[in-house]
Amino acid sequence: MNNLDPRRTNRNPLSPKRSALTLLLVAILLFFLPLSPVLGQTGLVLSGVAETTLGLLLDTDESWSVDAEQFANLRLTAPIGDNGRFYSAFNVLATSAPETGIIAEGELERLYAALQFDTVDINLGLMRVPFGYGMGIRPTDIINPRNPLFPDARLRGVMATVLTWYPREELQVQGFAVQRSTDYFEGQRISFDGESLFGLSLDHHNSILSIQGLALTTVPGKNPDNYRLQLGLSLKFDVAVGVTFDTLITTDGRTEFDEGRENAALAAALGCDYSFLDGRIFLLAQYYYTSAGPLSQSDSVSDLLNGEEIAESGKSSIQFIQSSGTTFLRRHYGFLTLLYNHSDYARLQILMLTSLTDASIFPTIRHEIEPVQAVTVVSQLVIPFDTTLFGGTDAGEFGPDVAGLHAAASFSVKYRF
Amino acid sequence: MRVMRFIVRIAMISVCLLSVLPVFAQQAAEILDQVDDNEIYESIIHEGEMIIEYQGRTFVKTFKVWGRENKDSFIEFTNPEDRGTKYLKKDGRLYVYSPDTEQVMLISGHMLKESMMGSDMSYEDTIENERLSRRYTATFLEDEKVDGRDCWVLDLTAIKPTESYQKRRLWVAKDNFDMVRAEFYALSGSKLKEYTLIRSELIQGQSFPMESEMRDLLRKNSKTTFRVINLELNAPVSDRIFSTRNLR
Repeated sequence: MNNLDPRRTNRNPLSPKRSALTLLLVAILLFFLPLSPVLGQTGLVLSGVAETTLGLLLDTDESWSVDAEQFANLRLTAPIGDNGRFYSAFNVLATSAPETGIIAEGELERLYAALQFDTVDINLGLMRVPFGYGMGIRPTDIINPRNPLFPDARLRGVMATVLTWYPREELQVQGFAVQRSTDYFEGQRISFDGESLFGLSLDHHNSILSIQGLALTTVPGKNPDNYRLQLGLSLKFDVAVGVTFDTLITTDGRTEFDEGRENAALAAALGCDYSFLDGRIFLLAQYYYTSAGPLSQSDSVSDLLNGEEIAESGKSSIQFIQSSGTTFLRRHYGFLTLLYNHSDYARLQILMLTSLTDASIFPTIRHEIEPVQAVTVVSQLVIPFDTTLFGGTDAGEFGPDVAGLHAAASFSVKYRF
Repeated sequence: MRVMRFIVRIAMISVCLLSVLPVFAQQAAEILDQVDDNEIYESIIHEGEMIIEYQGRTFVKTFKVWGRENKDSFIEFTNPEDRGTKYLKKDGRLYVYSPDTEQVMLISGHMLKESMMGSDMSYEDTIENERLSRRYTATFLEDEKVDGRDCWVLDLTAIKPTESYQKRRLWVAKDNFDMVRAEFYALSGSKLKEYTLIRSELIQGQSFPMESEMRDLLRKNSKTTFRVINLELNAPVSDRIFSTRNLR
């Protein structure tokens, strides 16, 4: 599956090693589920989301496939004395498709302790560490990047220690250490590596402006070229419209310029959001630029698909740094969200990511309705398109050839408890 | 001669009316002040229930509220499907935390007119905190009985054009200054919302609304009933409650 495949966006693929342990933990948890009133008295809280999905996919070879999926995100929290709380979450997933049969998987998603003292908070364990204020593409959200097309998706955790100091009410200083695996391009192939990140962030809020500064550095694993230093800035202005600006500068720390190698990369997103008709219609428009895109304007995505050498590729280890949940191949992008609340319990959402260079568009159309309390019915349609649909020869970055599908439709029933 | 007599009569009636109107205006302002006084507290802690009846469907949401000085408040939802959703109102800004996205989000000014948690209240309704008497000019309209209670009817006109409701009409009980009914109007004069007090209780000398109903008239067949449970007024509340760090 590639990074645009709608099948991977709501949840992450699970590794077999983690699956066995997680399924065991989930089994233990489910065993205790009937005792939940007793658990409630002790401050333990069990909650989560269960989701049944039926998907229909039209592949690029014109073949249809149908799959079914049962997913649950189970969350358990418990108090730690008066000043702390323990959080855990598990994903369990059962999928059924003609070519694979039934596959059951499990994953530990969160497992961390959050401790609060007078002016300091400490969080330790497997968690999410979010950064940035942008509502769509957010280049500074580099620890657990999200896919802007699926903003409500739960994100995989990272092992982290986060120390937050609140010197003043509106000021927050955060130091963090994170261990995670990362992917990078080695020639034409994606490789995986572990890395440690250390950094500082600073948040300040006033009546119309929120500002966040971010600095982090890495201790690379087996690939020393993976070292980088990153500086980020995120701004949110709340005037008549919401305006957000997120930027991230990445450097590999070298002062000498090696031939054929880029030493620094810039990613920036500028967005505006506004709502009309007392909130019935919400619109978000964003422009995103990344200098790390390996394809120049003259390069074709088809070359990449065919495994041929690309003029700009392989020049830098920092070209493929994930600046969001989607890997970007070019430099100029647009992102649009249009939300229409036709009642307070039903809404239509259209999200579009477009490569401005090759005019390919990846739209996601989603309709949600709450027929009864705690139940949401979600219908979703994804139709990637590019100029090949109109007789062009070059595949677009977000076109059907890259996405690996012509269309995907799904129908889900989500239950919260 | 007849014309002269008529003019004199009109002049006398006008003088009488003009001398009475400031009295009515002063009386209306005092009544509005008393309505405000009923809802003034140093701190408040309570649980609550929001019963939303929307086009034949019923949604029940439960929550816990902490507030101080009619200025800052913190709400945590406790019903199973919204458990962990938290709102912080502080310095006129509204922050929300969703346990699904695990993120604190500042609700932008232009989004404040949206419904809060699917209820008939908007975010804007929940964050308004300044006394009505400072935001509106009150005029006395008439006396009227509501559910057997003698009430004054006041017309309120917004002092600032930025108010979410440019006009309000209040029915204020003469016996204890309860706001027993209210109507909310747009600048165009169209009625947007209706509020009805169902039950109030005398707590520490203040008549506090314990059960009320709000109808957003732009939503068809919709009303939200609010119930206050286990109310504590002026109990000590830690400053830590009203902090964005408490949202996570």
